[in-house]
Amino acid sequence: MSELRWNPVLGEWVITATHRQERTFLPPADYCPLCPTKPGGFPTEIPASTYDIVSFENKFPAFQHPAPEPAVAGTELYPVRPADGKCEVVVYTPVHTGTLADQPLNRVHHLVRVWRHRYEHLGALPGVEYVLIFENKGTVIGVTLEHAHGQIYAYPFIPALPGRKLANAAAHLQRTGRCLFCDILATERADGRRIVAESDAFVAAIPFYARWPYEVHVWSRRHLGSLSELTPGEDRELAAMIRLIARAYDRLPGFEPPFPYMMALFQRPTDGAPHDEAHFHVEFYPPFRRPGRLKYLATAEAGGGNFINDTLPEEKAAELRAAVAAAREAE
Amino acid sequence: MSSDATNPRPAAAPARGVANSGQADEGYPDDPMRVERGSTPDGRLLLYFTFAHSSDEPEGAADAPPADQQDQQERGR
Repeated sequence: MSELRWNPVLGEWVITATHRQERTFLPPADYCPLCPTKPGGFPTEIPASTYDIVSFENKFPAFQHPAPEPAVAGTELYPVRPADGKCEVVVYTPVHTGTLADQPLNRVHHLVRVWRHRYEHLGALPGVEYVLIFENKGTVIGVTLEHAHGQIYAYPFIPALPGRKLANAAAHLQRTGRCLFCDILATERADGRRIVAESDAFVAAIPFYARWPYEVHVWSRRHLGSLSELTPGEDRELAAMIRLIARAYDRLPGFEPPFPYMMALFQRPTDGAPHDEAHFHVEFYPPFRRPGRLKYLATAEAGGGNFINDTLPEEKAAELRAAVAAAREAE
Repeated sequence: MSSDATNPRPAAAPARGVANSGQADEGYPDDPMRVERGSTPDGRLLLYFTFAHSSDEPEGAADAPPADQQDQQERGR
């Protein structure tokens, strides 16, 4: 069963997808569904003896096309609609072990090109209004397969958080005539204390308003809305910056690598509107607040909605800058 | 949403075929991306992405000729 149920209190859709309860949970390496299928071996999701990078439709999707009709009838108070969209899995490498941080730069660059391909193709499908590319890394995040991979959701609506960000960016644009994210980027660079890494095309920082202790945002220096607007040199830089942040996390003192995180790419919606307020960026949300201590979303956050950050972004950025230096030294 | 190039092949058709890489990957004449359609064992769409340059080549080698050109050069020696 899969459907969209409207939450009239928060004004947002909830996706019910009960079939996802059955998804494969941390299988042994010999039965990894993301590995190539070896001759005579366990049939994986990928019927090939090897591959470079693959994407495939998720076996346990939150959205699917065609979507089944909702199992319940909607009302004026409680509208429902089919969960029509796409969910894909992107497998970064045929090798079972390793993470994005461990991959050669060429592979991460190729992955960025695959992301762009899927953003453009999925975003062009009628009814798809937003394409969210993301990665969950680490069992503490809830990852059910350890093989390095990410996911893509093609939503039939703009999801709640990107929607709030775009609304605030649009209001800022209307009020000032400037891009909110360009202003944030300029402010962070002028201050400098929260900058983690910079390249010609991208800047990474723990922003002034970070909710998670090691939350890193990567912004394009140029005002552009999506991967589609990156030049070949810029998308290779993006690959290098994403890998650098992942490698820096793995070098934070006291933590045992691989360091878990959630990572999402935020791009212009694909709903047909121009969205001049959109500015391409990547956000990392690691769940640790210190070695051995996870940050849980407790009542004040889950019920109140406002994060309580137990750390100072300025201090955590200094830690990460040192880890970036160590990661660069090791390259 | 309508049927389109990204819809899955039938379950009984696991063979791979070339898919359209579209406008998504211009700008890499030396390292083109090839997209092949396939399917998972139960028929869901599966796309294989391959590149002229190896994804695992040493860093700094991205400007070298693609692997197939290197082979030709070596065979021509």
